[in-house]
Amino acid sequence: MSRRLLPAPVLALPQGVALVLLAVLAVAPAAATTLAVAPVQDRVGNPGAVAAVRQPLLEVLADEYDLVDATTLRNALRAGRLREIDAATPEELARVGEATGAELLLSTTLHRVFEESPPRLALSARLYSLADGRLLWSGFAAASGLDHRGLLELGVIDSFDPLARRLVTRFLRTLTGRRSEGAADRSGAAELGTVALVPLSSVTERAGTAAAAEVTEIVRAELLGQGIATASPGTVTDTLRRHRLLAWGGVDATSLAALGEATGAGYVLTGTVETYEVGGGALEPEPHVTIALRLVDCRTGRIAWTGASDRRGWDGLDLFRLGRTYTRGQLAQQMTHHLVRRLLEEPAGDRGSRTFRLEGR
Amino acid sequence: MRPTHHRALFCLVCALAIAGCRSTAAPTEFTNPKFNFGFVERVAVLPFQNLSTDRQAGARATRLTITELLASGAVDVVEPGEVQAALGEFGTRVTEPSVAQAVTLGKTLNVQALILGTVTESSTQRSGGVAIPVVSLDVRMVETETGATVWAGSATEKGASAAARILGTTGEPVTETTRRAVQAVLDTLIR
Repeated sequence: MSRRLLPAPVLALPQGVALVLLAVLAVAPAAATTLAVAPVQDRVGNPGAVAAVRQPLLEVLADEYDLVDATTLRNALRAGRLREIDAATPEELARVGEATGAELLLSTTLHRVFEESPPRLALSARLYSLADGRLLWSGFAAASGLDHRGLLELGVIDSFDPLARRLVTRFLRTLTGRRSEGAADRSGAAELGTVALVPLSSVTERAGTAAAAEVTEIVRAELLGQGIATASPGTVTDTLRRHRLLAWGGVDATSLAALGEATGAGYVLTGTVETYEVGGGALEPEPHVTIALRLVDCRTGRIAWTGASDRRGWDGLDLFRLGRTYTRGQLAQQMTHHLVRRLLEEPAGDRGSRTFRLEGR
Repeated sequence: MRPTHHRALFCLVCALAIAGCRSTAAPTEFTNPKFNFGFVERVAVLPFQNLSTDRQAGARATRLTITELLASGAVDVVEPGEVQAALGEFGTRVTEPSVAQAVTLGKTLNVQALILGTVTESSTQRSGGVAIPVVSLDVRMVETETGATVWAGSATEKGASAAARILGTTGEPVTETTRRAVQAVLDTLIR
């Protein structure tokens, strides 16, 4: 047999048989998606907390995505005069994509921080396609250092940074494991079509705007999480601004028509945060949340559904503190989950909830 | 123990249970006998006035009234955002619309009647260790052709069951008490 140089992956066997190593034939790993991570929006005025959140955020995302350089993104945002990613129109997002080469953009907001022991924090995030400005995913997470408290106070996290790291790592699992956009888990979601979420209003005693913003993000995350197509917040905000319409917790005929046309939504979901407070002591916090939502038909202006829930963090079974919820954000998430389920299904027997579904009248 | 003692004990327990039941005043009402309520198909619920110290009481009662009216199926209810927009046209904060304003609202919102209300009390009383919410509402309906009041009702509800009083547990959430008060009032309108 004449000897010839063979490419390394080709193994020469007797009788002229050559075996190409399967490793070469293995499909090359797909190129990772390019993701731009916007600076964390700081609603609490705490740069240290922002840094404690951003660091694990970037570490986790770097394993799954090619991250755009922070300076490149900052220059692109400045060039587009974009201060609020979540208020950006699809055209503005497309320009960011062209400038950075990114396919996706992640926007994160830090809503609440409490650094004293036991620490607490709440954050939300939204993932946008830079090609068409669509909202692909939305998530919200809140945590307290008491969440895993066991007997003899074991399991309590008493400093902020470890809590932030744990929360961010857990939170991003829902992003990296997200379902494909447009997949409706329930037939009700498909029937509902696209929903435009108008930011909720608030009548709480304190920090009403912050409460409304936080619960709005909780509702958004829950809508998407349950397979309901949700209009991009930037398009909603831009539409309400251009028409100088009510932006918080209420829509009139003009805004309904404008939102329906701009977003393709058949319904608007909005509502009110009536209570968003936490009582009790530092070691035994008791959150109290009341949320009321309503679904309005964009075509007819009629209220198609209303739902409300009023709960405290200590409702339900409370043996050895099992079943307790220590933060407003976690409590609001549980309540919103049940409310959105009712939006899609018949009412269940959740205490404190009242729903109504208008049919055909 | 003699049977008479058993009966006496039974009567005493029943009396205590009855005494411990929710004590509420029967709703009072006014209905204009000459008004054709079948004419009312669509109403607007104006934000309730709040005379209590509970800051959320007005918004809570307004929202629950809307829900209960919708749930009854008796009338359609205008989206609150529309109501706010229409009230905003008046330029000043309107809590009690005048006759002219009521007629204007009727045309703007395309409603045959307005529902106006006042939360006169939303507080928590203490009975021993039990927190008992108390809610009082006054609600009325104004028809939008002449601005006349065609129905009015008021109700007071207390939110502690006999079990809560006897066992010393907490009463129901104020939202539940408010909802029962709204239902009690609307029961005098919707039959």
